[in-house]
Amino acid sequence: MGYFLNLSSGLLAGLCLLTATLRTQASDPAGEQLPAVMAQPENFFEERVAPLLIKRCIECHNGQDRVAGLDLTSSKGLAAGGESREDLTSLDLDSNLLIEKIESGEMPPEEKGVSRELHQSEKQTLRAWVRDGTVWPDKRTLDLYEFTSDVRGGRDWWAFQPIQRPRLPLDPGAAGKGAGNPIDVFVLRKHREKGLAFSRPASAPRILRRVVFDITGLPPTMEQLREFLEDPAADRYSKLVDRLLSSPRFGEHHGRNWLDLVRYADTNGYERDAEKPSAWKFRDWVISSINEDKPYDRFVVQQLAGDQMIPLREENVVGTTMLRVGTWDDEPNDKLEYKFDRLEDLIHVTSTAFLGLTVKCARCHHHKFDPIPQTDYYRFASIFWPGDLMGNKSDPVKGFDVFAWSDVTSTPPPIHLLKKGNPRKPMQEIEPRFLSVIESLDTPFEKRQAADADTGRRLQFANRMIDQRNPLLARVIVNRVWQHYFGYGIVRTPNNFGYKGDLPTHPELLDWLASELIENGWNLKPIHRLILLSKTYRQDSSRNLADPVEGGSPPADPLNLYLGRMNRKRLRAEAIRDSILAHSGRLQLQMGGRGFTPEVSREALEGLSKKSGAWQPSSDDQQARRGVYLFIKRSLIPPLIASFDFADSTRPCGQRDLTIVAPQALGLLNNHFVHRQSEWFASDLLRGSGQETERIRTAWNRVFCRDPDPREMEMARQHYRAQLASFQLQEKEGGQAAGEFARDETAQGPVLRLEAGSRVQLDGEKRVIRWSDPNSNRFATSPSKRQAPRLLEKAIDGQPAISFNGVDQFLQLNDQVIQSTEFSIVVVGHDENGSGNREFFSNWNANGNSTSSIFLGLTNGRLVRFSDQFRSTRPVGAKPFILTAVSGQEGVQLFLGRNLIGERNGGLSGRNLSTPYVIGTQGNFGREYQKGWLAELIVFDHGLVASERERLWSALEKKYPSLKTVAGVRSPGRPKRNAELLAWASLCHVLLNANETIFVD
Amino acid sequence: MSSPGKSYPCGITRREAVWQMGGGFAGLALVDLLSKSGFWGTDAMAAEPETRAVGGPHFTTPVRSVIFLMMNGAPSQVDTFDFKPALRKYAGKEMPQDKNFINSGGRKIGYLTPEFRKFRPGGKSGLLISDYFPEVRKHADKLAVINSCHTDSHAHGSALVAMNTGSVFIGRPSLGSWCVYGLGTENENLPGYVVIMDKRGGPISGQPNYSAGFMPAQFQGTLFRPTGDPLLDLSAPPHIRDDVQRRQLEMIEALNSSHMRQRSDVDHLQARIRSYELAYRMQAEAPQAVSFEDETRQTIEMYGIGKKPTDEYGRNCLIARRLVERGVRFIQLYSGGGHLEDTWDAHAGIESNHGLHAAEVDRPIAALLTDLEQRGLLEETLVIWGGEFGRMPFSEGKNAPGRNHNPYGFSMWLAGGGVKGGIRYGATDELGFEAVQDKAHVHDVHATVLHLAGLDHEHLSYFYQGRKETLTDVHGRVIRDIIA
Repeated sequence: MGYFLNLSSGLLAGLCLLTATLRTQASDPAGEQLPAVMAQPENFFEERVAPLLIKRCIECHNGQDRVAGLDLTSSKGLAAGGESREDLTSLDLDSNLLIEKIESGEMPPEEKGVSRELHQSEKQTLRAWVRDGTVWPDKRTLDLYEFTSDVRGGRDWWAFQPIQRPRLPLDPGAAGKGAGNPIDVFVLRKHREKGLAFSRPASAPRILRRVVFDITGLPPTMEQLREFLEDPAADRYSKLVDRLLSSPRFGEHHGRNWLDLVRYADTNGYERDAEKPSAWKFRDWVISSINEDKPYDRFVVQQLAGDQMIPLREENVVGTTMLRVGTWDDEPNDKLEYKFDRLEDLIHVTSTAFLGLTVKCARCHHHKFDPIPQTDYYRFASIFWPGDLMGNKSDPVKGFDVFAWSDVTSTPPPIHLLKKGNPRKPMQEIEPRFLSVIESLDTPFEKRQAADADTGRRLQFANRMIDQRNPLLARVIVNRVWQHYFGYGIVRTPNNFGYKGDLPTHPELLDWLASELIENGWNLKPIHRLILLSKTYRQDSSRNLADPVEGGSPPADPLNLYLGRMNRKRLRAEAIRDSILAHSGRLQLQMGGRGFTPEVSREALEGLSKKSGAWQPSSDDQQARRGVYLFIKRSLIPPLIASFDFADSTRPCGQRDLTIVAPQALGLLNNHFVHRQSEWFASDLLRGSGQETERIRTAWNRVFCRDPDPREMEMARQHYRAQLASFQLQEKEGGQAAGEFARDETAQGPVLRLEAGSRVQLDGEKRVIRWSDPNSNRFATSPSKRQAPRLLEKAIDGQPAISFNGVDQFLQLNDQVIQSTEFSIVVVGHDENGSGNREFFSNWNANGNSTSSIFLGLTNGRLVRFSDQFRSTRPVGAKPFILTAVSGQEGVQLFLGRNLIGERNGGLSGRNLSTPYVIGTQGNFGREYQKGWLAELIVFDHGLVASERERLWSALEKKYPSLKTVAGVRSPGRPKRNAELLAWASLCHVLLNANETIFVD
Repeated sequence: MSSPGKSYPCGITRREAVWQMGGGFAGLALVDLLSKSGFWGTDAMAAEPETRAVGGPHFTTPVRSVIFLMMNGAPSQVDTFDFKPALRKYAGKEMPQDKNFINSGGRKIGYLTPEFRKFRPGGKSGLLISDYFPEVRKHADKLAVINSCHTDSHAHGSALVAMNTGSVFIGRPSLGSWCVYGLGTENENLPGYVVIMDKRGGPISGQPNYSAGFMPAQFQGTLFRPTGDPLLDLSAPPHIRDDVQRRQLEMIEALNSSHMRQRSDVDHLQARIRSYELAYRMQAEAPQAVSFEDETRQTIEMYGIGKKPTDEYGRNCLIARRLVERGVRFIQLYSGGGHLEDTWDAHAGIESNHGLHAAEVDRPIAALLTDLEQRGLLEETLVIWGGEFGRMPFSEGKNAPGRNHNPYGFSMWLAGGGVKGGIRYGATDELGFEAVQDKAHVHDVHATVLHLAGLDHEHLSYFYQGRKETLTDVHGRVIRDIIA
């Protein structure tokens, strides 16, 4: 190559001097043609050289970075050369360093082993330019982001251009083809370009199911369908849409989209994973904002700067909780670095959610793909800079009891651009400003006085954000709304409108919706309504029958980019759970408040480091609330929810993954939640008419909103009967595998029975020295005289009890009593403490048995603690009681008298059974002493089944008549299992698993 | 420049195709299969290579599986694999003034303390390994001990996450996720990435230690239990017998088939039908992985199963071998769980703590290496041993027998496929305090593990929100000196 250059440079340089502006073409001796530098070299520069330098060189060789000392953005920089001070304007192609570097392939350098060498034509362009005098127009400086190239987006990228409200096409042909509303006109236009057409309108039941799910996230009821079908009004559909949009269920369903986007969770993550107090107020605020159709611009300002708005109102301030619901590490390794990591989280969530941009990519260098220089990142950072970046206080903010954000100073220290993002390499100071790419909004911020409470930076930033000259805010949000209904946005990368994102399929439609939103005063419900009423939305999800479906040539538009049909959607995790609860009849529509914790099997808890107190399920009723009210603990997302692609709560999620994998099937087939709901469902069916066919019809109506066809009816009958026969056989066989409902009575006596009425050995001062089991050689002794409890001769119904003082008294057991995780503990006693942790019976031990011990005791609110894994949902009260704790094959149950006060499927996980037991305190802890009476302590080494419990309770109630459970207040508990119930439950279970349940056409 | 939607046949995007086709645990094997069959035009694949999950390894390697023996809580390097005779000389002296460190948890800073158990040479190589690991020492010639590891955090919560995901911040995919993402799995009836916890509890920070971060949930670690049902929700409650469930599955299938017949564009519907078939197969296959019926008594004894204190980890190690045989890609076995002394977190005393935990794992680990070797699987299996950081060369107070956290220098070892055995790499200073020679950051260890598994840490990327994300971010260096 050098050889050719030698020849050519000599020859061409000479020619050049003579005829530089006259030549139109030249060729070098190798036959290679060099491009002509045309009559006007400035044009050559603009058309050929500038794009090349911008695309290939100035990412590094710019005024800020000056890699190798070289700045190629101006003629001055070019003339100054790099570190070697070589003259890059030298006409001598042979010695010009610029040409040498590109010819040798040294520049541009390879990246991760991939060559980025210039193409031959690019090299030729530069050679011709150098040869002809490196003409650089006066005062022309190049900018990395001047225009879009095939490696990055420039300031001319579509998303940054002002919103153009398109004139609706007035083509009568388009309107005549039955366009429902303006949306359809845009869609039809694309159809015509692509040779597509609308599918048929969806049938009434289909559209009802779709619209109810899409707006509320819940399944329709048969009554809703009947009402809809029987409504003779021509506008019955739009009336329905309006009704649904005004239902509070709308905010619950759509609010979750926003919560995904702002990485909402109720805990911090990391080692302690502590709860963010009252973060749930933000969740409720999002739901109510959507329900009341708060203008979107206001919604945005409240989240960025609600604390700086006037007037000061809780409703504004709580919005800024958004800035605090991300992950938070209370023990960062490098505090300085963590401060900047916190900033990145804030910049990322706000730029993603509001602007659909990846501003975070400009933390260490200019954005690689979008016109976001590194300075913009620090401008963005400066608005959060005056806040409490490192703290996690839960103090009231501006007098309101909310977990919100505010500035901690009105005069923050300056913020600097960091070289390569390194906090220890501050460069120039950066002033707060908006993104430079929106030039009209790139104006200085007003400075506040030191006397002001805060900097007002976020409010000024927010006001620019919602300015109509910012084209992104409206485009990004209408795209999200569109995505909710169609499964995909008009831009299919909802969080990235930049160069690496997808282009809009219907750019005019996107702009039209965006301008509609702004003209509506930023109310979003009209946009929802427009979409819902469009013909595009209301078409069927299957193709027209005339279209090829299977075989033959592939269908046109396989991705359905242009909407020749509706997209079929799989329900998201919460909607699946909510539907199951709706079908079982258990759904609770209580709104707001702290989230509930669902029951999670012990197996799923194995990944937690602190099992103790880490997961306490809420009451059954609470657990039947909608999924949006789930307490989101970052270290443990409930498996059934996680497997159906719940949002990653560490980052803004604009679109959930959509996977269909076998573990989901296992979950819906086997998870105790689904089984239990099927049993509730079945118990409802059994309450209705006694006709088999009637029950089947009811089940179909409830789940599918339709009657079964004759074939289905027959299939269901056969299923029911076969399952019934099988369960009846199980009942007869009474095998262990049949579970509790038909378990063989192989009742075994207790392994420990201590009664205050017998075998209590006292000293002279009625101190209990030894308390023995009359049927075994097990006994409990006091550790010292001082710590010996006392005998109370008449405690409950005239019967004696051992009285513990709650300070230091307890007893030690001489032997091991429990052999496996199947066991039962029964206590007849009384509680005087009322608060704090205290135990009746425990083998807790600091040496190796802190998280795997067995204990039964009480805690605050007189709730029962049964080991560190489980607590009751109802308290024991201040009166004497019979408390029964069962850990069996089927799970854990707690009974107060005969009432179930807590239960969980799946027993306790592996317990350490080798440490000694004590009575009246927590193992060898020296704390958690029980204050109150203990009349009986009975331990079994198996889980008591119903009949055993009955017998035991009857005997105890005879002995202690006042402890008899009053009839009528018995908790319903779960439906009683028998063969008939289980056979119906099996059918219900099948329906809950069907594709017709999980997908929406 | 990207076009609207990435166009592939059959009405699905590639993003969906990978995850939606009802694969059991085998999303990527499927991708691979489809690419090979020309399902995706090569142009389409080339259009955006950065979002492509690699359909196979970047390099040829014998390694098919990785076993990560995770010593949760952080073992002390100077008491196990990093012999520091100088500590005897300085015993009872204070840490030199010029050594800067974060005193994690603000604990007492005591005096330099030599090893608690004697170091002895093992194998032909004579690698010095302490009496906490007498059985592992017999395999010294298989080990490449890295004495110069260091990490970014002194706190368990973030250091565990860093050892697992490369970052101290929660939310990134873990090493196992990257391996399965890059290599796929060979057995769709089992998860490609299996985690077995210590019975005492999980790691601090929980799920993010084995999460798939921004990748689909399919790549996250699946908790596997060594007894009973290995997988969550694998079997129905006891009263749902086989015949009952079979009838349910038949009816679900019948309803789904007729539902599908009435519709077009049914890929998702089909995928879901298939997911039930696979679920049924898994119910049969997964329990076999944890059943030892076909193991000889000799094998069971070798692992120390049925004996204290080796029973639990012995079972887990044997299960790991059985999972390797079944084509599971990445297996992580935790030793230590919960907090403090229930883990290797030996604040109270090295001898009391490591005496217990090492006795639990030493024999099982040695048995695993022997067993893998005897079956010719060691070449195909990469074994990694280590904790989230190391421990200080000084005690936690005067005559105190415990040691505090130390992120500045600690030891890990690798063995098996592609690893040079019987060598040491890097070194800490004479006190064993900080890595000084050939320092190996966690990123370097990760880069090396990926390399040995046939993956290039710079090119194994996942395109997420505008950026090509990699396990090692912009860092990481393959430690070539330990590669055979």
